[in-house]
Amino acid sequence: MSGTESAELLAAVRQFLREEVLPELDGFKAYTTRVAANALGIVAREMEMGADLAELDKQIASALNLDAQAGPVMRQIALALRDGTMDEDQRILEYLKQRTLHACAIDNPKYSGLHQARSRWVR
Amino acid sequence: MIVETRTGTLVEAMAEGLQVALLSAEKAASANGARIASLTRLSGGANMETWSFDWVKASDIEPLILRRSPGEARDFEHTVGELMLKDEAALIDVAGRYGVPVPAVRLVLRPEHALGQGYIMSRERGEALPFRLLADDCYRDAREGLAFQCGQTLGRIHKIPLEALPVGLSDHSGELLFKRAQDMLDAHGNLAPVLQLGLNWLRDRPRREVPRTLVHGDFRNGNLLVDEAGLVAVLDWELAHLGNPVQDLGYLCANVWRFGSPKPVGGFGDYADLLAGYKSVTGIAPPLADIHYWQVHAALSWGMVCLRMLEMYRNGEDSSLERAAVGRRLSEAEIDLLLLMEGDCV
Repeated sequence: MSGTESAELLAAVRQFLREEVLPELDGFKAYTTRVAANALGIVAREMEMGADLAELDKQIASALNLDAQAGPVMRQIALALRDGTMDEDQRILEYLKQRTLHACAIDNPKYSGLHQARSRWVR
Repeated sequence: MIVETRTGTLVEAMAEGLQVALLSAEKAASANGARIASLTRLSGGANMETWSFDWVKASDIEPLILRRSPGEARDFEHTVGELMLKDEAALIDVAGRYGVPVPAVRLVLRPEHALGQGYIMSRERGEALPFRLLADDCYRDAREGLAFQCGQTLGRIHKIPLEALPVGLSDHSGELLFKRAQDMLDAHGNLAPVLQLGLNWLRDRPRREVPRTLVHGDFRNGNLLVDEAGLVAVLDWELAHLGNPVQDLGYLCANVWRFGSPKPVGGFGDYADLLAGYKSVTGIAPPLADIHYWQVHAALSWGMVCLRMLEMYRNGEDSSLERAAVGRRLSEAEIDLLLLMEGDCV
């Protein structure tokens, strides 16, 4: 790409919201503007790290012999857990922990639970 | 402050509507010429608004809050949370009579007021913003006694006799709790296996059945109005229902409502103080294992709230940015569920 990268545009809009718009506002609009800037942060992090999630899904699908045509991996696992057709074994638990660590790192890297989870589950 | 013309007109029309509604309820001649001042939107999504304003009379100024769900008269029966707003107002009234600190309900909106569904209540002084409450020096003393006060207050809420409660509270006791949760996960396309894991854990774990009581359902840091001396009022009763009282205790201790603070009770207190306060009113203190059980439930509930917000955003019920953003906080609930299912209270 020869022009401004998407990640750069996101960073620029985020900075604009935080540094130029936010100081002009108060109350509900200031709060919502902060939410808007955070949302752009999520998109930026997903662009950077989202492939890790897809990779984890691919690995578990192959380990459990899931049918790629049968819908999203997450749904197949959720339904199997609901119906009791899949044991809550270590492999699935481990996948869900690693996937949730990655997802939370994208969604809210400052979340207190994430720090605790990392100290317990990061290999 | 930037005010768009459209917003300005909306605020003017609303002030006029509020004036008519309040005047219709005033009997004293001194209310003649009373007017609305300082009307400001405080928070909320597109279908639940909180507004602050003053009712200025010749003799005094009354600080008030409007909580409303805007909409046409035909939407009047539409329920936003568990309770319709008029039932929420009735419940707050009852809670106040049983010694629970609550705002005074001033007026319940009727269709002819054309302001939507909602009610007007007293605006008590104090702070409900979690970050201020947890960080500001002026709340140091308040924080010290708050867990005990929360225990006392929850004790009072749970002691309200069932026959004193308004009708129409939904029942979440026993198996109904699991059925509701499973229906919700199914309705959202079963895309969250960690929530399913949490629900299985709750369903399969032995639990102590206790007589059902009123459950506030959203008793947490953020819905507690606090001043320098301590708890002033319990807000946001829209999720109230009948169920297991320990649910409220576990919910108050949920990680998501500690706002990053290491203190387990709402980010401001310790389990022992909460339970001592509860015992001082009810004579019993549930074991920590029960609190842990309901912490798992609180994490699952938060996950389901995220799914519900996402649904509201997607189906156009409430297409606000706030709803879209909360829908993305699902992974917080999942982290907490996975942590809690590994062991004891976190």
